Amino acid sequence: MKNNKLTKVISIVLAVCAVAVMAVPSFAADITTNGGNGTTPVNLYSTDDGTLGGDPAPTALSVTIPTALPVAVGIDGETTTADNAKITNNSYGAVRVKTATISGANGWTLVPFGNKNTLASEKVDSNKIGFAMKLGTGAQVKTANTNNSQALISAPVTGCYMSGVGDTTKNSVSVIYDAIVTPVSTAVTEKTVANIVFVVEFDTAA
Amino acid sequence: MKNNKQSNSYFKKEKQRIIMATTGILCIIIGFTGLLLFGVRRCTKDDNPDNGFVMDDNAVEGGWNKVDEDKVRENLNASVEEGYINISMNTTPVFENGQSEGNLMIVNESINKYPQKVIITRNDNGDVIYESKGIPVGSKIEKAMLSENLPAGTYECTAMFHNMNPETGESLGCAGAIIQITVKN
Repeated sequence: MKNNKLTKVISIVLAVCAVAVMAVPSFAADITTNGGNGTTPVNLYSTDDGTLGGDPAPTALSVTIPTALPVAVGIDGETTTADNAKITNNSYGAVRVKTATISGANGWTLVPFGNKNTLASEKVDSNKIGFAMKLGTGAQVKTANTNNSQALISAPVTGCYMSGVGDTTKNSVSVIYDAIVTPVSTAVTEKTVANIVFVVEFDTAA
Repeated sequence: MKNNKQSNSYFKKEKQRIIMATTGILCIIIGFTGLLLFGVRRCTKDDNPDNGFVMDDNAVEGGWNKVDEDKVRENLNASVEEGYINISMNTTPVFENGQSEGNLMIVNESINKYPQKVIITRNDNGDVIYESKGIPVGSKIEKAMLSENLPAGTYECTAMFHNMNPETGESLGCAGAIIQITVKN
């Protein structure tokens, strides 16, 4: 009696196994005709550690940006600027400069950039600066009025775009700049007269 | 005998001449050296001993110092190098709800020179929705809560990274990144 029951159980298990073996896996392409085709999905998992089990995460943004653009002015008003300033994209993805904004600081105000002789009528210690900048191969952008905060770049333009770090010939853009300043009656050293803030973003296809 | 006396007298005179000549040459050498070492005040045509007007000994020839542009630029370039900031974070952090932690993943990379402070501002209304404290070089903030309980939605924001002077607590300069914050529920 006991053996009969065991035999029945084993039979049922074997029958289930047989049916399972005959079943077509649902994740395989079902090609039923000669010359037919199937679809095999390629699934991407973007995670913080690059594993299937990692926390979902996008490509990391990593960009190196200058926060100081120093200007030296001689006794004759001639200015000298650095020639090594650049923005470098260290990210895997392409990046662009979205905005660049300048504002006067420590009592200094902005004036339109031009020939330094345009400041000839300004009084000594009137503390005014005109600023111009060029990113990479882009056009020169400059202070255009006397507003204390001005957008030099308000949307990505030519020269703002950087490739991912994989292409080291295109993953950075130079920041070439120039300035004119009004005369000073006392020597100044390392005085912040204006601040420029660059804002970057991924260069998305959308 | 007489010849010997004459001969001695001749040698004495000759000796005196040599001593005098040597002394004279030494005096000239010492004088010349002194001129070279201590300079000499030149008497110029503008000096007028009659009214006491004489030129200032401190006056030297020349005008304002010429600028060594290469040297100046070298110093400026060093200043730029000192001011670089590397900004690194997750640009699409997700929050389960307005009061949960999200994966901001702000990294102050080890190539930086200063501690960083990050302030996230909504671009639509300017509200500050996150402000970190100082993040040491080579450290990160993986997850954090927002300071504002945002309703579900996607928000374009600007994350502003500041180079901080740890001694004064002042910002030494900043740069920003556009990010999209998603609050699920």
